[in-house]
Amino acid sequence: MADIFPKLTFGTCNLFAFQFVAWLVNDQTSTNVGTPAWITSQGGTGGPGWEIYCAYSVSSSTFPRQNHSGAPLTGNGALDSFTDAVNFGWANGTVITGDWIVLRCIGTNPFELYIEVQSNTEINYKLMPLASKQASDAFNSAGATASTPPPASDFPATALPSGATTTFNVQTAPAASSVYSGVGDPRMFALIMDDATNNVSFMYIGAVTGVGTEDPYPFVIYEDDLQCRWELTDASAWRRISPVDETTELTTMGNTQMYSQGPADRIQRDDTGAATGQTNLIPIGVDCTQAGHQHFVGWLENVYSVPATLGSSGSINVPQEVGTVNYIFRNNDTAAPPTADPGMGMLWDGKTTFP
Amino acid sequence: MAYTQTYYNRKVHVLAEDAVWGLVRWLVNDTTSVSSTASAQDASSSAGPAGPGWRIVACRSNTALFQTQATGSITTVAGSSLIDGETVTISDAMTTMVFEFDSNGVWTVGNVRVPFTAGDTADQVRDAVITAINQFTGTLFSIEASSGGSGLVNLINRVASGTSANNTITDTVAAGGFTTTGMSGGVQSSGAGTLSGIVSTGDGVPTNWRDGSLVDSDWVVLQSNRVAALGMSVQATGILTPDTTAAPATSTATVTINGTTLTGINGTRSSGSDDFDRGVTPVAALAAEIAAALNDAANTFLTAGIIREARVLGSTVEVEADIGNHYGLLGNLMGFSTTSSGTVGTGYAVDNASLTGGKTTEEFEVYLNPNATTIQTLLIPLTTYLGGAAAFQTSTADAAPPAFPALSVGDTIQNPVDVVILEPGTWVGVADEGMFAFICDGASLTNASFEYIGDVEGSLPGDEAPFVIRGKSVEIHHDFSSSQDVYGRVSPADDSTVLADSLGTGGWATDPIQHTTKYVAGDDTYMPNTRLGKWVVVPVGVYYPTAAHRHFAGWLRNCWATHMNIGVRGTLASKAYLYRTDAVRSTVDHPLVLKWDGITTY
Repeated sequence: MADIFPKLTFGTCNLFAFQFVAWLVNDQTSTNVGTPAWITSQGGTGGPGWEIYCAYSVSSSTFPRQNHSGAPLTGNGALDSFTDAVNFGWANGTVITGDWIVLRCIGTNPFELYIEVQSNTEINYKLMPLASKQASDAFNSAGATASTPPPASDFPATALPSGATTTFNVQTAPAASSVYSGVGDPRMFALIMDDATNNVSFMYIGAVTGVGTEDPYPFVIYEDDLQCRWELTDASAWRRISPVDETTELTTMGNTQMYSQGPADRIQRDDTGAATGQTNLIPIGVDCTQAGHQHFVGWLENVYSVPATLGSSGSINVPQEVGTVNYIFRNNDTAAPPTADPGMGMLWDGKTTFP
Repeated sequence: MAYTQTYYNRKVHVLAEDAVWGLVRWLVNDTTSVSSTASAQDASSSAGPAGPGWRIVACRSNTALFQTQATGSITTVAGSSLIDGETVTISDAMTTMVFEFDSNGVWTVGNVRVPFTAGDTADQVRDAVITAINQFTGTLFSIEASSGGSGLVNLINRVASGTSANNTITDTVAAGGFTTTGMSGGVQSSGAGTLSGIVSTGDGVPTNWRDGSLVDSDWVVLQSNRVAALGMSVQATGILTPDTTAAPATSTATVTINGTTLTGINGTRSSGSDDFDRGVTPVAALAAEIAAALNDAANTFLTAGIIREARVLGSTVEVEADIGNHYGLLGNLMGFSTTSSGTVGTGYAVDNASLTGGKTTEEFEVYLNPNATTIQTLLIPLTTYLGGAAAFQTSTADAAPPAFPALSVGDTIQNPVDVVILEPGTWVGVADEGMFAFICDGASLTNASFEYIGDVEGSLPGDEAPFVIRGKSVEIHHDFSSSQDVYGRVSPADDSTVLADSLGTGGWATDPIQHTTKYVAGDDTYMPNTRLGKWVVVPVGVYYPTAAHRHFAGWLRNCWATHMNIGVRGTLASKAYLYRTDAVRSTVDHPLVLKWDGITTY
């Protein structure tokens, strides 16, 4: 069951970060969450219900770093439960540069996610898979040092930054019209940021599907802060920890496209989308070619590619449900088909219009 | 929910008939029946014979027919003998429906109306009963009605089989000529002793399926067991948006679900009175008040089995249909409405006039007919397409071959795949509740046969029955060309067009994994030997390019491809997988891979 972050507009990524965390932990009632569209829109179904483990707020002089222990901190009231809630940014809704938080997805064999607001246009993410060495692979949520960033020793050796850099440029500049659209479930989220000037960012963090029990931690992190499309050459954006030794950080990973009948028929690129009644959604696979660790990782959950001929943005219905908005797509490639790359498609709530 | 178990089988058989008998025994998880000719081979399986619990729908031995489905009948009378409001109650093992004869336009909420007039003949009443039942068949109800002649309605349960479908039909019709029989005749169709218990319908004579002594004309129809893995249904839901803009003293508000009303009052609600305080503010609190009233065990909605739960979503209330009374698609029939007056704004609103989104797990049937040199295989999708003649028709089952439903698919429409048998052969297979695949491996390395029937992973919303069948008679490899790797299915675009033109798919990498090795024989650049080991399997997708039906159906489950340099056959990753390809194509195409048991040598 996936939940939708339905096309919400924020002027800065600080404002976005607070609502995004509220959505991830599915906190619909804390004082400063308010009634955003991810709750109130017709397609709103809440958030995926991740858990909070640790948080830091620059604004709180008395309790800047708060480590959570005991029962999982998730759901309604989670953000209100921070001490010094009046000043603590993750409670009062005024997240500022330097604030960070550590979340854990839910389910067996989870991962943790570090989110740090680096400026009002940038957010830093780190993925921490809790592999078989779960204790040492987790963020040190018992640490006492209150700083930004946290001490390096608080991060496990297997913490993965997003992409080739460590930040996700969610906005090129503070802009009142920056729109965030996402999909998430207990083990992943994907996010599109569109600042309405064709500067579009895309990121995916979490599990892929189609893997067997021999790869119980199939977590990847991908970000492209320059474009939202599916090109074959952008191999450096992926990261994961190798399932072979659960230690090696794999960086030689690649986007994939599906072929049929040989290289002349590349489904993702050449499916013209001209016929009616089709879904136009093609799965996206992730492959690793790093020596000694070669493997097909799996395919993305809730995220697909769509033909470039569909244009720069829009929505897709499934055949039997005409009139609904089951998927959205975005493509900021300025080239024209057939040269243009395929766009990114994403599961949607069936109701919220897009773009 | 998801598929949680995988079942494996390995048997050595001399005759195809023996192999299919063992395959059926494994699929229905019959751990006790013994073959007259193949028991020694069955015992050779080190990981079996546990199976996924499919069910036998029908089988034929020589001219004898065996069926597991419950049947029944209704003998109708003329409309002048009926009294308005009389009912007939029928259960399909999952859903009970009450059919109410109605001549005055008023009938009980929740009952299914059977309109009649005093001037109707018994045949006209018969036809009205058939229409009333079949409007739900295949979507909400698995019992199908047909005419049995003058004043007679024949009933058969198309999905549920076995003794659980033997639910007696009851009625309140006073007229003496109105009678019902059944539902009865459903017999064990799965589990230990199923095959040894098979006797033919009517004469009770043991059949060839009882002990595996099959002949060429013998066939069987099986039904998948997806419901065991995926659960019964997705429950229908609806969203109520309340409103606080009216003064509670002068306004009114109601919420009605399937005929039962919750009424807003001016003041504190009373548990057990089906009411709520319409003066609560703000609107999020009002939503919580309404949800609490709906969830109040002293009120009607939970106790009468109308809703499973009401949940607060911000300033709205989401209600979910009760599972016991309104499972799956049945919940979509539940009326959902609200009224309000005295409001200034938009007032109370619901997102739809009925609950929506309810779905029931789809199943499929498989026809298998072993012959001396081939096994005929055919896929028959059920549920979504059920109704009329879409399911296998047991009434025509005494023919060899029998007539097939219009939407059945083998290598073409209604034409079974003739999977070539290589004898003496080694049979290996993998199955779960929603698919099975087998390899018949001859003594020579030259050839092997492969078949896959069932659902695929990764299908999209709106494609709830992604069932495919491989249409190749012989050869075992994964290719990209339409002539080499063909899977048939019924199109999800219209639920009626049979597609038999899938393309094998591959690639999956910046430098395409399978494709490059295909066209550069012996070139290890993209699939170097370091890949040999546990991480070499690559998904096999099924893609349909036909205009108006173009879509990616999904990936084979428990089956993959690996690279050609690996050889003709063997195992990978400590026998976690096995692979096989044809020797003649081993340098140009890719071996198919099956999930394996981690124990058995191949």
